[in-house]
Amino acid sequence: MRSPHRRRLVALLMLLGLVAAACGSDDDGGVSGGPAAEGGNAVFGAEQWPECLNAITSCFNASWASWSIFQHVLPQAMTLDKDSNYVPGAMLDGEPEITSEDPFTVTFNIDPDAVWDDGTAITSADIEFTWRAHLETEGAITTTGYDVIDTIDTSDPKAAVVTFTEIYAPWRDLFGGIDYVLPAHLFESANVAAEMNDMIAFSGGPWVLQSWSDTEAVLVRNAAYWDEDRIPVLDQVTFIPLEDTDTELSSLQSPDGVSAIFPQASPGIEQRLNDPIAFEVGAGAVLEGLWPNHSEPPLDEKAVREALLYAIDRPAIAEAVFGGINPGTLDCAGWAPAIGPWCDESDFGDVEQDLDLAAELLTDAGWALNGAGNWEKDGTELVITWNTVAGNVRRETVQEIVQEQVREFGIQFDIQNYDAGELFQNRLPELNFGMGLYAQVGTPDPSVTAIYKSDQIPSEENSKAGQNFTAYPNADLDAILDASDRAADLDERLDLINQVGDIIREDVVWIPLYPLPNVTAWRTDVLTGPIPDFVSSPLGGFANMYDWGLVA
Amino acid sequence: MLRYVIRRLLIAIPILLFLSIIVFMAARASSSPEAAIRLNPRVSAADIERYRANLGLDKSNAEQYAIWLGNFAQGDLGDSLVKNRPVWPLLKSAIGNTLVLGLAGISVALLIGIAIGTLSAIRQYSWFDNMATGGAFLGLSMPQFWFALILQLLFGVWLIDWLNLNRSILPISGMKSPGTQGFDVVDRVRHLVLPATVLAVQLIAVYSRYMRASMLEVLHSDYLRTARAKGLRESRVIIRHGVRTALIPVTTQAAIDLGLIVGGLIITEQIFQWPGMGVLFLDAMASGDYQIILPWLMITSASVILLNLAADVLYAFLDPRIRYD
Amino acid sequence: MTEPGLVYRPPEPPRPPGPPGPPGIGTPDSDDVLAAEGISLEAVGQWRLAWMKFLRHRVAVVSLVILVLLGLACALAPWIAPRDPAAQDLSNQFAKPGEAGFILGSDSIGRDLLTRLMYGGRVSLAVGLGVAVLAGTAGTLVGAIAGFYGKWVDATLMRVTDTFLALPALVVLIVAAKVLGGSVLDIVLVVSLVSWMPIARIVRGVFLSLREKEFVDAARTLGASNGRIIFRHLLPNALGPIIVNLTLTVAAAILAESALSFLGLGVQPPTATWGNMLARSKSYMQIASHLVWLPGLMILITVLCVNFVGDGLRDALDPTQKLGARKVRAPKKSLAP
Repeated sequence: MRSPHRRRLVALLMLLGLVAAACGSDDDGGVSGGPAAEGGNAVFGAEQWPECLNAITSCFNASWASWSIFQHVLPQAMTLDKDSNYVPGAMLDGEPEITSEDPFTVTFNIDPDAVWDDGTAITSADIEFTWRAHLETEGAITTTGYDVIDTIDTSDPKAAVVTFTEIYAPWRDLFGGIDYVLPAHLFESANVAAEMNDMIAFSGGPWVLQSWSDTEAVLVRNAAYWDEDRIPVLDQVTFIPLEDTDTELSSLQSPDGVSAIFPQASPGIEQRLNDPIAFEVGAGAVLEGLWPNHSEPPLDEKAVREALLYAIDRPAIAEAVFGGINPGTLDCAGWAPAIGPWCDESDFGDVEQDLDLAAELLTDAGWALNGAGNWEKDGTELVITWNTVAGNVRRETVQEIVQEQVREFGIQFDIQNYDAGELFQNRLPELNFGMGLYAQVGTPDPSVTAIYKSDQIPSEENSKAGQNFTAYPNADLDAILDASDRAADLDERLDLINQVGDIIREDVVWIPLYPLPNVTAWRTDVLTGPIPDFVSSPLGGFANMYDWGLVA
Repeated sequence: MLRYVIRRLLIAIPILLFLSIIVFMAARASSSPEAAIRLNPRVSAADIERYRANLGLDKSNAEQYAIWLGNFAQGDLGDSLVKNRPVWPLLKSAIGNTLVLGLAGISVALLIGIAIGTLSAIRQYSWFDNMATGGAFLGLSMPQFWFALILQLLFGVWLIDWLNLNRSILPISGMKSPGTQGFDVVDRVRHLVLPATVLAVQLIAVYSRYMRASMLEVLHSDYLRTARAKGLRESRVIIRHGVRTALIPVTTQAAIDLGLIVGGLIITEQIFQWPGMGVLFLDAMASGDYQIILPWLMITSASVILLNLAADVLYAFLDPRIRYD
Repeated sequence: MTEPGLVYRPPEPPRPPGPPGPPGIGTPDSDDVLAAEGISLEAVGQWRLAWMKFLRHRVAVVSLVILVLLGLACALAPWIAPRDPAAQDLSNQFAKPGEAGFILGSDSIGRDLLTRLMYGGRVSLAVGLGVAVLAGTAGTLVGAIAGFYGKWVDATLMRVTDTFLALPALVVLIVAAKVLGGSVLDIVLVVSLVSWMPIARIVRGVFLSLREKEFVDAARTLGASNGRIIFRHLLPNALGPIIVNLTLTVAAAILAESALSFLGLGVQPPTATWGNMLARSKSYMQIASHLVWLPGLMILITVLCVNFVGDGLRDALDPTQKLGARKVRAPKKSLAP
């Protein structure tokens, strides 16, 4: 079920992208057209080069390993289409079935033609092995979800029957989503910590990793690939590391550099993406906004939070910060904005800057303007301590814009920025902050119990490792969150998620500002095909690389 | 002399230890490798605990330091906390890259600086001397990274616009062209030019001033007067007797600089994305990866101390007027 | 050493008298020289003489004038700046110099660059001066105590000084800034941490060479306390080199602050300094280069002028230099961070 709002947003974004591209050049650099030549080699640029190629441990965290390598070489059970809906991956034969509610059991039916590149069939044993790998590997980055699986029945090699100990609604993110399946027959033990450091010597995807080094990653077409829809047009793709956006842009602009990049969307970048370069802007899965600390005044008062919401001009912020690559204002309360069906724009979509309403909210709560033009109550002025990462130009700019927006209105900010380590390591877990400006990464499956549930407020019980930094304690919300995590039925789940969104809006738990934009840029004189389709996807802009070809 | 050297070396050890403790505490206080993991929404509180336990981060600071020190004393540098790979190869390649840049800069600066300084001294107060003095002051006063950025602007934007070029004359970042295999000398040298220029410009300012000052002193000194009195030709006088003595301060300074560059090119490397010790340090500091920071500190401080010592020894060796007890 | 703002002074192996050193070390007492010149102390005061010598140094005088003008322009910013430094004009982002009424252009959110340069200069210059005061005081104290008492006090203090000198200065800056924070006061403290050592060494040298002199014995015989000897008799002799070094410290401090800002660690926004203006504009380098080279130019001009003034001061305060001489001397204390 898709909300019409979201479709409109996507269309708007594409329009923006086209308009922006057109403004940047005479030529219509929107979408590549033209026939694709068969075969050929292409070179693409990648930014955060991974330290290792192990998809289970943490060394690939915050790198492009997923986008540039894992996506293309490792099979997934459920995957995402370009609109971020879950669809069965190539290795599955049709949608998985929920064969039982109690105990909660999901059966993955595996495509009979699915094989690893050495000819061995992909079987349920591989799914079972992947499960144990997540649990037994030293330094595994996460066991979330895998630790609620009770057993996996592999008696039928082409059907993995996964039984959970409790209803686990985000099951699509296991073995798929942004996770992968490993081959059981190629590893001696389920502890794969020492494996896959410099190479992935097998493949269950459209490409085979031919070589990987500090200077390049070479992928070639997997001759054994069974899914006809995804057989690559190109013979070979080479990824090369480009250290920063400037280098990427220079390389793209030079005739014998790379032909596609997925650069960090820095403001002004569109001015350098001129013909024959085309680009498209999408709304990424990283959402930035204001996160008030509900356990400290003055933001413990809902009136103050709501007044702040109405005092600022959110679209203006996004526009000023991003300019020509504005991904739009973030209006849904959640976590997977504009991707997938979960974003409900009615959450914050009706909010416009309304200083009168903000003033009314404050006066109703007992605040009054004092002689200096600032809001005051009981002798204390309304001063919000605002913390973000020092040296982050985008965030500092937002602080300056907002500070100016509300200066006349009478809200003051005490801006204290810290090093990322100090902020995320020491201050947030200790709830030692006033209001944070930072981003959360959304996942395709919107379980955000970790961010909003009251037992996730950092405390002694969870050794300060909880992530509910807003310290928002709402038992009703907890109940809905838990229910949504257990709602296996998609419609039911969507309804619960929307309820969560409503509560978040009602209590102004956080103030969403914008999703970080993603940009795909490519040379239209070299590449053709549906290149920008996955620009908003958490799978990364190169996910449909198999459909890209060289201009004939 | 030997006792002096040994004494200096022995004193260096507690200094290094003290420094390592301070930096370790600072690194632990400000950042930690698990910060990157925390914001990943799929990672639960239990996952974070496990991650910490795995890396030994749940132990007390004193314990972690002691473990590191014990390993270090045995020559085991361990693995990076964030990168999951052994520390030494990372350090080794970083040192190599930084040394390449530093040596290029220093050698060019020595040649040019000595030449300018000598000429300035010989033609004191001439037009050349005044220009050289002005240039030296300019070189010393310029914010280093500003000059680097201007060069990047010049080659990356302005020249391309003015001359209508397809691509820039000189690469403005990196150590080699992306995607090149093997070792292409021409390509490497082209990438070396701009960052080495930034380094050399400031060193030329320093070396030319040193050379000028010491040449002046030598030119007016007594024993050179004797050489002239003996009837030797002016140029022979200068070259044979003057320059060699005058070279002493400059070369010892260059030796000291060599020790300093190992840890001293942080900003230049960051701007030009030169994969050396500077970039390694910044990355490690950002994530609190003390497994890299501590050996980094040891190496850079040790090189400063050792090369300072070498410079002092060299100075004493070359200048017979100096003697240490 | 190659990094900005970190004034490098070579560690001192005992050098023979000869290469131009800062005045006061190993040179005859100013009194003797003046006497030899036939100038008596009553006729021209020591400081008046220095000032007259300084005025001879054309470049230094011009630089001083520039600095004073710059300082005034920045100090008077609230009255003479064309716009409000926080006023944003989101419809005129990245205006080039001269466009839309912005004399020097505007930044990413439409703030006037000229105004921000003036306000930023106040902080940058204040940091420079603050560091000079703090580091100067600390260095002088350490050097005085070490030089005066000698022996193990000297040895210990010099070991401490050497320890600080052994660390790559930028590393100390980065680590200290991470620990201490980003207010102006914090940054002054951080930069002072790496700036006090050269002054300590100089002062120590002066005190060591002078404390055996006859006038010190005479003062002691007359019953002067140690403190009185230090402050009344020894310190004034060290004042010359201290002042010269302080100017270099100011220059180095401004460069250091901008280096820290460049790495995201300096004075935190919304307080503007030339350094953090430069740092924040790096990402806009290609589309608005004036945001990059203008703040840098301000730093360059300031540091250059401070260096020239320092050079003039060194000549002026060097008692071996006669009034008639017009030499431009080599800065022995060179800027090599």
